[in-house]
Amino acid sequence: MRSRARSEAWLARIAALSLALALAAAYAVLASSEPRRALAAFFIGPFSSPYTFFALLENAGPLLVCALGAAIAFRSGAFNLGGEGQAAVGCLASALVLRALGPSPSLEPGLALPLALLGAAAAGAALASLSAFAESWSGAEILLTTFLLSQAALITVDWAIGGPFRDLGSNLLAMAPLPGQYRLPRLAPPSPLSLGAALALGLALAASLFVGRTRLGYELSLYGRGPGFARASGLGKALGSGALILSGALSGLAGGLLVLGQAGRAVEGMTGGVGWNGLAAALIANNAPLAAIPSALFLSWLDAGARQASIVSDLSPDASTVMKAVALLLITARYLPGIGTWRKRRLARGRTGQGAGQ
Amino acid sequence: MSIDLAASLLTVALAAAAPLAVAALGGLLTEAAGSLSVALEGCMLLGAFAAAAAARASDSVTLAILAAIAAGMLLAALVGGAAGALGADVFIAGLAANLLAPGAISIASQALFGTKGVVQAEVLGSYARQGPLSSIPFIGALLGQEPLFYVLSGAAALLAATYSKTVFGLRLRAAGEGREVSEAAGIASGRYRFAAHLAAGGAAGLAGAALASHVAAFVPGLSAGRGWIALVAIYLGGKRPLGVILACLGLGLLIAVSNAAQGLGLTAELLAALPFVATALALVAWKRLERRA
Repeated sequence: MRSRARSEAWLARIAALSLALALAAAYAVLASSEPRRALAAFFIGPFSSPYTFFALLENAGPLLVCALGAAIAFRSGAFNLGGEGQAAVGCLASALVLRALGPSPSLEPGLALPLALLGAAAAGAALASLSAFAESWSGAEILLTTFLLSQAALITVDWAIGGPFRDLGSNLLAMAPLPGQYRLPRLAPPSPLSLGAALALGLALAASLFVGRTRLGYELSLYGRGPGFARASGLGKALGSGALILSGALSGLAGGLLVLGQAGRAVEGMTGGVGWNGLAAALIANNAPLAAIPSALFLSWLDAGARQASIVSDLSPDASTVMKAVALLLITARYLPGIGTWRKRRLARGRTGQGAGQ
Repeated sequence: MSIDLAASLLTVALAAAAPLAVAALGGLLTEAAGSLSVALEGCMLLGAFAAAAAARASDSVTLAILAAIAAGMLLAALVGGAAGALGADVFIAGLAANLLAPGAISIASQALFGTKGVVQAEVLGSYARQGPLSSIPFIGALLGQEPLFYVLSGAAALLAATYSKTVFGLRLRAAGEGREVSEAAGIASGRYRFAAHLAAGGAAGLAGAALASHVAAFVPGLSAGRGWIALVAIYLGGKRPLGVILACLGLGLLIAVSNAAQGLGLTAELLAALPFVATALALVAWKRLERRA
């Protein structure tokens, strides 16, 4: 019974994704004066050269890390809607750490890079911990405070990058480019594929082991499925807060990967939706860390395809945003516990949660 | 504090509170129906764009407002339909709508106006001029607002009355109590939920039209989180119409004070962050008070 429900859920997901792709194809045919060219660019373009394919993989890295963060928060019932802002403070923090270390490297890159990524994760965690603390102190809804603080953080980070820390020698609203040795090693030059993508893959495997094989991971999912029951079984509320902070750390780390990877510097507005897309990737993956890998690759493919199509034809690169939205609209996620109306509805249907935990 | 400053703060606070209240009261209907819509932000943005587009096409502010309401309802129908007929999760569907709105607007704007940026609509501004009484302190805050303020106030009163005084509102709340309850009372809860989504979408679309008329244009990102702040107002207001209106007035005052804080040496860019911080702090403080009471 359970496995049938599970496969039905995955079928629904595949149907939603197919529909999004079909809509994209319809848009390409209707809106483009050269539909054949636009379609080819969209669907095949990202795979047409090693460079574009590796670029797709590189862009999927931070997206995957954000997705892992969202998945861990959702599993524990904490609605972290602040991934975008947490990634932004991660961007700023990693750039500031390397700026503080100075242009002439006083530190081995092997030490400086982890330090910068650690700073990024710490910044994201700090931002998320404000919401965790507010929730336990006052009961303020996590989904509201994470969003509000993330918006404030986005504005503040953009101000910092384009203001006090701006590289005045550049036309961009950006901080100074990082010296070469402070950038993540490239795996397949000249393509932008960097160690960051491999790191993201490793983190997904680690998160999967954490969720599926460790006691803490199990307790987290248990807490998410029913905080009352979990507390009655002796699990503390700190568990939910911990998951939210871990989620913030991962989003922050994703911001660090953006700076140390392809961009090589902190640029205003550089998160560009990575937090929201990570959230979408997590939901498409039903909050399973391993499934987040193909999910992040899929969204990265949509982005790359829309970009390619907009270069060779008259299509809009925003088509990928619309496709993601359509996919998200139709992904019927009955799996996320934690919001009153859902539980009410689930109870009303007499359904037992087919849990995030599985 | 000088009287002039207090009076101008009040004027700005009321002007900021009105669209918030309309969107929040629309959202309250969905909350009452047990299917809270988080798509207010997207509906607001789409409403603002539709208002600008319709104003350019028709030179009529009335048509612009109607177009904004219709656009908000259309997006809300997607959310309500996905949540109702397709059994999708209403929260996720709402997030999707918030993602959909800016993407779809960008494509439409490029196709219609050849730009992804600002879409000017001069005629919208004609509704955003303050009345002749606006220069009188305090009285002006109430009687000298721009015409749209009174449209919004009327809409807010209508939504609040719908919630608490009408059979529709009562059935809506019954639908929110649960399927068994409403079906025992002979109410098709699904239809009421969908209607609540439509009303919320229309209300948020109208609020978006007000934002656009304020600057006589559509600007990308114009809603700037106001839809989310309206959601906070629902929680702050204890999920009751009067409470929600009071919460919006309070949040409007916070926004006005944040705007006035420019004198304190904060740059305009950083100032934009203040309403979010202030709203978060207000939520935390209120929840804490509530818990201790």
